[in-house]
Amino acid sequence: MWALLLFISVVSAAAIGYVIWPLVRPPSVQHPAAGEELAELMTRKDAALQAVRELAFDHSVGKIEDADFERFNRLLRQRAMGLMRQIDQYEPGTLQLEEALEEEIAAFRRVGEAYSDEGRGRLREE
Amino acid sequence: MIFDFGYLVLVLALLLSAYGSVAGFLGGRLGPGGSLEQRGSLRALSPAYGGNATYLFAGLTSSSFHAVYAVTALVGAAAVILWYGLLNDQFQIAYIWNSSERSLPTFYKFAAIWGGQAGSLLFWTLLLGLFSTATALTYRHTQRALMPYVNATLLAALLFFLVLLVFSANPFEQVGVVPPDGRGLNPLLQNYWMVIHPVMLYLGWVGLTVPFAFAVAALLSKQLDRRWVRTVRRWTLIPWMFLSAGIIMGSQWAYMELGWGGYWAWDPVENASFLPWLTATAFLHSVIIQEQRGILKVWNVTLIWLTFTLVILGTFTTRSGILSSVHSFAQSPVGPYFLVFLSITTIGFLLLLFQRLPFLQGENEIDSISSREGAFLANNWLFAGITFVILWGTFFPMFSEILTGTRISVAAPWFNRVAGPLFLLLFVLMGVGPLLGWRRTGAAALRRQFIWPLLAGLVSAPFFLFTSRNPFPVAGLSVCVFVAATIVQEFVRGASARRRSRGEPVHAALWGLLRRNGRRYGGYVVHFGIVLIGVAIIGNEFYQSTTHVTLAAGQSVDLAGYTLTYTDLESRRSSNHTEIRASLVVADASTGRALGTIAPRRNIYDKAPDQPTSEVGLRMTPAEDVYVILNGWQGDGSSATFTVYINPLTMWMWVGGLLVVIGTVVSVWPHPQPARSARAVPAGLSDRAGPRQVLA
Repeated sequence: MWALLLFISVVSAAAIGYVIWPLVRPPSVQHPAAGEELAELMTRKDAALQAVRELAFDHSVGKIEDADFERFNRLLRQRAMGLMRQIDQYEPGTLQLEEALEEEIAAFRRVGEAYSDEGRGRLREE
Repeated sequence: MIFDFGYLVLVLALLLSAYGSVAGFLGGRLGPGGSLEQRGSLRALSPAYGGNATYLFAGLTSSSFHAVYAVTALVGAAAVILWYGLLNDQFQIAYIWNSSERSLPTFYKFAAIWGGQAGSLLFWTLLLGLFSTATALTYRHTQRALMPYVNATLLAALLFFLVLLVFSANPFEQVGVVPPDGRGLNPLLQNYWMVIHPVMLYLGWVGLTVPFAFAVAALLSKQLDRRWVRTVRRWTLIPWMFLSAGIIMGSQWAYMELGWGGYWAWDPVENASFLPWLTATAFLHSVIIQEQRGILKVWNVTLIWLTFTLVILGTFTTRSGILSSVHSFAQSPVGPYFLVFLSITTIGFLLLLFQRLPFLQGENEIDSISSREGAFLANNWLFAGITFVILWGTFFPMFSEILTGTRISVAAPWFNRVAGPLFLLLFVLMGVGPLLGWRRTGAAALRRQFIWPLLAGLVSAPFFLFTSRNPFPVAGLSVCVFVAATIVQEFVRGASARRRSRGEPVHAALWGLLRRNGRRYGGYVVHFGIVLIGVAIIGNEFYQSTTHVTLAAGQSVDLAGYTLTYTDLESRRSSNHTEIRASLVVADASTGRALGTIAPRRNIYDKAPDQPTSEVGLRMTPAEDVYVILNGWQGDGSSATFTVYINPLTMWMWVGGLLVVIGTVVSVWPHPQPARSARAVPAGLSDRAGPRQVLA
């Protein structure tokens, strides 16, 4: 009985000590709220670039007609540019936005690699 | 003594989960954008930190991480102690006395931890702890606004299960005297599928707590952007895969063990696993729309809550005994606890959702019905409709008893009649969706996309008419051909695109599609698996042949092109049961060519002689299964009674299930990400865990 009490006391002390230790010695951390906003902007930008890629792929396999593709592609690119402009306010970049957008899309495309020549050509023309 | 220690460890885990939940919640309130940080009201409470709420936030949040790890370790220790007791026949523990016996094979002694109420709750808690730890470790450096609340929610769920274990279903409860032997594991559970099937189901059910925790965290922190949605998709897909595998394995167990010729009977326990699967599947589709278009935010959060609620509701119904089931192996007075937990989570979540509605406005609108998002939306309505129908059918016995005093059960034909057409429509949409592009698909594109798949479906219909005059299987199989054709077309067009642009051989192009765009093409593999399951269901439901026959040794019976000849009966002794095995030779009825031997069995367990289990005799081929149940026999084996089924296409159910798992793995598998061109992700902001130390 005493051994049980002793054993559970030791385990309890160790577990409780481990759990409350960060309150005694809080980790030194800075967490600007702006970081969360930047992370969200980056996620939205990635989503916009992904949407450009999906649109191009759908167009290349004949799911989107040319007129719709032109319209939606322009819209999505404008959205991506807007987001990149906002991100630029947090971390001023060295590239022009147009170039930066093309580079980001190219990076997505390099890993996508699933596009036909048709879709690829059209993106470059714009 | 060790079992007293096990119980005290659970008490300690309970206290730490309660503390950790509060710490996580307070940490969230003090965190980035948290309401207490904005008000500065914690400054007065934190003199030890120089009035700096940031340090208090870091301390509380980090403490909640530590609580997750500690609670998991303690629950793990308790589970190890129970396993030790099971493997060493410690029958002074009531749970072990009820669920095991000396002669039980070690394999089943290990699995007995989920064979009864208290043990399965402990196992559930252990899995929840492991999922919580995996989540905490993955995002300990990221998702800083969400993680304190995620920890708080997961620890609150752990707290609930620990309350059950400590106050209602203590797995370490001891009996007054030490019995010489246990009462044995339920004979129906002594089957290899029962060793793995509950684990899969539990992994699915328990894993769905993680997306719920993220949804609660997003609502509490008002961080209802796209980041949490991206995070939560993968954490839904993984439990969804386990749940799918668990459901399929459960069907396999029912097919092989229950011996009634089928694999799904719309039993309350089966429905309890299927309902969250339906809502989780709906969520996996609608979350893509939110990611792509920033819409359906309220619907997605609601689906996550509904999925979690259905998990708890299903567990409540099957463990409380309010609905009876052939699968219910664990019943005890835990029902009221589940009901209270269900009420608290439902009311709390809906109030929170209502408060946060202004933050959940859609960013866009659907441009056109003839778009992928339009098809996804329609599929969500159908999923919701099917969920409602099955929920209604499952609970109808309870409603009827409350309203009329008579318990009226709804049988499988009702479910088939009502849900069947809805599933057919869902299959149609499964074919239509992938053919549509995002935003809008014009008339010319629609023609281009639909012509071949539609042609395939229509051309196949007359062929199926030769097999049946019933319109339902003909329509069902034609729709399956249509959906399969859409998937094949998608692969052909995608591979052709790769071949044109890269000059790859066919196999490399197909591999490239799966590797580089696994999310889309993994989804198609899952769809193909579902099509195969649909084909198997139609085959079993509409083309099954059966007969019930008593045969003397040497006598035969003909059924659906097969001749089965009963040859002999033998008795074998195993460690804890006697096996009665009949042998039948299967031959082609038209040519007389022998195809093989099958051996249906009955196992009579020493501890449950009045509950013999059936082990079916099976000859499985891609075309059909010859499925024989041994019903009875003369003592000397001179004659035996059998039920024989010919089940067409059933094998494709298991192949389809395997494809569902493979497709999900392809979809979840990390794919190459583009390198950031001009801007690196700042410390602690990536959704993927990085090496930087931020918290914990």
